Amino acid sequence: MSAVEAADVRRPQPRSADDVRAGITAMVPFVVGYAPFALVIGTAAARTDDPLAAWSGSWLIFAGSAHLAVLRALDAGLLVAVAGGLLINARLLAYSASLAQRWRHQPRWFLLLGAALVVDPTWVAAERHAAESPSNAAQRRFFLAASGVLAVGWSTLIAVGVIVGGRLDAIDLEIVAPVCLAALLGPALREASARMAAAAAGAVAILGGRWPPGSALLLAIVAGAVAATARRGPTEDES
Amino acid sequence: MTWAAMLLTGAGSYLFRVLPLLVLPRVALPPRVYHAVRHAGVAAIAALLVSSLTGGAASGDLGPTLVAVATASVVAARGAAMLRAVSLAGLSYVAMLVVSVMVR
Repeated sequence: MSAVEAADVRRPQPRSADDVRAGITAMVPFVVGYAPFALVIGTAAARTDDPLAAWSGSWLIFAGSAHLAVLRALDAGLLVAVAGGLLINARLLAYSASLAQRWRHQPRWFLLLGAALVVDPTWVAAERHAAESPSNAAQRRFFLAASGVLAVGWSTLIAVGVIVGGRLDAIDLEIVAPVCLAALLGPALREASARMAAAAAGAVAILGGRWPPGSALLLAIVAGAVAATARRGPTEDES
Repeated sequence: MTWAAMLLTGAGSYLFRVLPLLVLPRVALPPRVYHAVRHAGVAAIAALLVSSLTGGAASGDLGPTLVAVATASVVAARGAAMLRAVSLAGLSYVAMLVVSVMVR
């Protein structure tokens, strides 16, 4: 038995159902909060030549901003659309790199499956849950329940958007994406170094507003990470 | 072409997601690097937020949108659930729209 497994045995174990319930409870508000954004993507998918293919991105890409960017760039050509989507999704490298330390003792099947479900809200939820130091098995149950709820809800809502289509044009839904992102970001801003990261990234995103899609995002991520590290200082211990 | 775009972007996105999970556990990251990586996610969300403000949401009056975003941030930072934060932000957005119409 490894040291990690031994620690799992010593720690009081919640029931499996509790982890699943916690995962579902953590993600239902995200599904509801993201619903209008999903409807916007569904509306964009309905306007393409192949709405079924466009909807499939809800599972294949599983990231709203990149999915919407690809749909809107289809007229500019395949390479432009794919490159734009990938640039926006390059942030997933940061999320997975962060989770790699949390999940270093998880089995390979979970890493391969869980990787497909890593996105902004599931990363935030997984980080918060893992910070409470539950067992590896509890983290798996929590993450799979949370991300499963998000994936099914997200895909279903985009399908609704495809069906309802242009009838949503009269509703101002553009407001929803920034509001959902702000709600995701809010809890992290309690930490000073996170505020530095957000401020630096936001400044670069403003400066790069007219750069090619995704390029400003990448530079903003780097700027944010550097700013957070500078704020932390050379001698501060890891919290 | 839509299928190709979805499949290619999906495959690339999966590589972004899975490669760090498979490779990084075999590498001992210094604490400073781990700290930077952890905050890179926060930076990504902040940049997405600003981009969405300067993009689509900026097509009209930005004031109500900024108030809604500030409301969501503050309410979430105080520990409220996502649904509550988004609902209150929506209410503040509507209130700002009403106020702006009345002022005109």
